[in-house]
Amino acid sequence: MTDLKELLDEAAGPEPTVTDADLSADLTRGHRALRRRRITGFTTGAVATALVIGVSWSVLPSGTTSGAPQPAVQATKTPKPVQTTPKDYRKLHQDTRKPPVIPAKPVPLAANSTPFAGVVFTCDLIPRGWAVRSFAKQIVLYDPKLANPSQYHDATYVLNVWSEDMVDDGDGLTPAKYGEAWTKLPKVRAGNQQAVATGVPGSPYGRQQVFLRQGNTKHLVTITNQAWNLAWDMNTLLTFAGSCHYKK
Amino acid sequence: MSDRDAEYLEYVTAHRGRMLRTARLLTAGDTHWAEDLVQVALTRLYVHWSKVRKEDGAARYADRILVNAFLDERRRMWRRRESATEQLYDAASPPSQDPAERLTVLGALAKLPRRQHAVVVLRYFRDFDVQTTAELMGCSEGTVKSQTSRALSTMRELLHDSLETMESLR
Repeated sequence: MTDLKELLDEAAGPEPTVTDADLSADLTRGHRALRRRRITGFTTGAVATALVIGVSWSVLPSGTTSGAPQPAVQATKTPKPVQTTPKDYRKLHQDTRKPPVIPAKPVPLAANSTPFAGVVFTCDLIPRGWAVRSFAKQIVLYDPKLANPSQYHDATYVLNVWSEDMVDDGDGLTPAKYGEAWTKLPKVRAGNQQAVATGVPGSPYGRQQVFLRQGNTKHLVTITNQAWNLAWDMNTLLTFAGSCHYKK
Repeated sequence: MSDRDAEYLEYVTAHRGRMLRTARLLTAGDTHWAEDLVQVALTRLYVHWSKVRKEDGAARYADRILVNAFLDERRRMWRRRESATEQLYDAASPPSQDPAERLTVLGALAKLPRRQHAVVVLRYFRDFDVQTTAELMGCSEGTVKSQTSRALSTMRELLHDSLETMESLR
């Protein structure tokens, strides 16, 4: 089929010269596509995480009331619900329930001798007296003595731990939450592991997250602490995080 | 400019012309569609640059995207590539020694079913072996062989008739 090859070669025409304009346009399109992909990836990851956390709270036990300690009377920073006026005619559901009271002393850490079941990771420490549930490949830590948890805002009394993988879209391994590669993110130590932490250091208020890289792999153990009733600062959270790792 | 950009531009400078020639055959001479296919392939290549550079080889990846983009477009029969405009723009076809012969070959390619079309371009223009062609098209080697056989038979008939007709007119 040499003839066919020659015919095709002829039909394809001469090789065009690549101009600077071609190169510049190709590079611009590449940059734009990469940016779009990262934004899409981050949004998808955030929605999926929110969904999983939301569902995990909804399946938590409602707690016991007998003999449960009354919430201590202590100054708490209760966020005022923000009034929004949706443009849509539908009313937005807003959780106006309060968070649990922050105890005077942070909940101490205790050794955990039972590896988490059904997941690839475990933590050697857990908050003393707290219980463990697994849900959708996540571990949910909660206080079983918290009286009637349903009275509290959903996102204020559990600590979640799960595993995830970083993705490499070209700039190196990047956690789904971030647009920058792991190597470029500011890191802290958690035990003997490298970690990236978010949230207000030293503040027990609000959401704190720690991403623990497992050695030099793409695997992360991610911890999200929204439990007001732990009263943990970032240092305590990092101590706990440092005990979490992939199972050997 | 980052290392990634520099490496990518180096690749594009070296391979864009070859990709465009392949795309011209895949699109049976539709220069705008050919340019579209090349742009799609190069854009995806940039997005996955570090991965394909390490694992698969950029050239192989770019060829795969080019072929798959072509097969996808041909599958969407409902899709019209053309849009009407008030003014007609005439794209100059690439210069060739014999425009009539060129159009005959491109016409024959256009009449082939999409997979046979792709097989002919990959095997007889790009000189890929059966195994590589199968990998690029995401099918078995047996499929490549059977598609090649059918395509060659059709091409032989189409080209023989057309070229003979042209000869008689000269």
